[in-house]
Amino acid sequence: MEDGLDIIDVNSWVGSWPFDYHREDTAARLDSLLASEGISLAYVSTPEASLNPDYVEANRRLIRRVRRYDRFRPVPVLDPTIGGWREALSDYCEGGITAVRIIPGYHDYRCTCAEAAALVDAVEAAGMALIVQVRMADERTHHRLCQIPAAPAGDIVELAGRHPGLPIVAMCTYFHEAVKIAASATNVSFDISHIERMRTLPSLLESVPAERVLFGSHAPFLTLLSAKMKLAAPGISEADRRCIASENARRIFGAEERERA
Amino acid sequence: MTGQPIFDIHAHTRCSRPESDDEIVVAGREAGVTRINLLGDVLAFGFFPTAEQVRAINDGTKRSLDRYPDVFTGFCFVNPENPEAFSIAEIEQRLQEDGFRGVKLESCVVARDKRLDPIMETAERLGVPVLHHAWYNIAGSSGKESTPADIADLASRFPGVQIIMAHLGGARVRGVQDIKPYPNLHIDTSGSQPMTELVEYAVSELGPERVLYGSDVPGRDYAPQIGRVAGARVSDAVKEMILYGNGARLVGL
Repeated sequence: MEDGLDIIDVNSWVGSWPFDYHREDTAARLDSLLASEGISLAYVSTPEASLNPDYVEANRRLIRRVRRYDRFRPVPVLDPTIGGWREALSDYCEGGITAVRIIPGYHDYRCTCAEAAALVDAVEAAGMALIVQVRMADERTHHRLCQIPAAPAGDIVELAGRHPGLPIVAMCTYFHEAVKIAASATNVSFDISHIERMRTLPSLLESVPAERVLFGSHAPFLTLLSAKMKLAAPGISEADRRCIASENARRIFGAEERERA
Repeated sequence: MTGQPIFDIHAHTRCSRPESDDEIVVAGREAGVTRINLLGDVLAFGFFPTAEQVRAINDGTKRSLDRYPDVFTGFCFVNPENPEAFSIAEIEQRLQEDGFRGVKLESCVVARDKRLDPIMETAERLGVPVLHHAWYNIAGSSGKESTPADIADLASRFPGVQIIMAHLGGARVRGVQDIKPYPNLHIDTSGSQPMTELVEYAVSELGPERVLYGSDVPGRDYAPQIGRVAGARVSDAVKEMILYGNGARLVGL
């Protein structure tokens, strides 16, 4: 891997999570980790918005926490089944935010439903990118009384087909899900946090173009170094590695913009 | 990648695909893995293989060992449902004639099943470790999957056998606590995604000498699975123990 490769993490989180302790659950500690691993920018949401119905307040707290760190770009979470998202989306757009995230499984809807369609229409009209959080954690490891389904790959294909001009990032897909979605939807990209197979990236690029693969760590849920080692492993061209490390993120999220919501 | 020898205690080649030997060796070399322990293509015939199928699985491992003797070590896979005499003979032949170094148990029966007893007694007599699959799987188990509590029961019945429980990522906090009282019970770091905090937790609760690096390739990848150890907040000395020393000691490298 080239020395000094610019890396943008499109999938990181600040905040507490009820099922695990994460040392880097504050903006300061996550920023320190990202700095130590050479991550120049990080698109960050709060996991608190996945379970707390007041997602607007969760986003407000996130934005307040990360504001003083140049490394962070906040990605608010919206829930189309609870009112308030239109006003929030408008505020985020005015504040220069370039992407929002939906978490269909945790918010108990399908991303093909009517409520989601209205939100996605509005996101597209606002010129933003849409992140679909497929899962937060391996379904086998959930709390026994809190089993949350992953967003089905077929739903994302259908959503992408309805919005061919909307850049969608399917976050935390497994290898086979990414391959399935990529085969049918050209406007969906994938982060690498949960994509794994022996020689992950050379294997993935046999089915998914490098232009649709993004560096995402899912830190602090997952070990940031693991995502970096996936990116650094041999078997892909340096041009593809640069695409995955940062160039695709800049294209999709407009990373040159400094959001100050 | 880490600049130190790495021993992967948990890997599988495909018994019907000799080229899988080459693929794993190449991928391991790229990641800096120096030795790889093969557990057999244990699901090649489903969860409940016949004696003939078990022999085919172990033949596949033998093929891999013969092709790359400087890289691979191997464990003998058995299904406790099969006749006791067959399983014991298979273990004895593979260990005494084919150079295998341990026994692998999967999800054919749960670890509390008394049909494991003659297999464990054979491992104890031959002085080799047993690696057993385990998981706390709330999404529904496949086969007859053991939980870490089941493995703890096995360890309590056979304190003279060194047991490696697979999948820290499937055991997690509850599983680590289950096995903590049994000093003959170790855990490998494989299982699911490279979740943070777990390696540190296992080291803290079990002691560093009871944690072994495992990847579960080819379903998983070397780089991220090494990363979960290399990225853990433990000392370099502990990382060396996990990545090489502990596994090498148990397998007799």
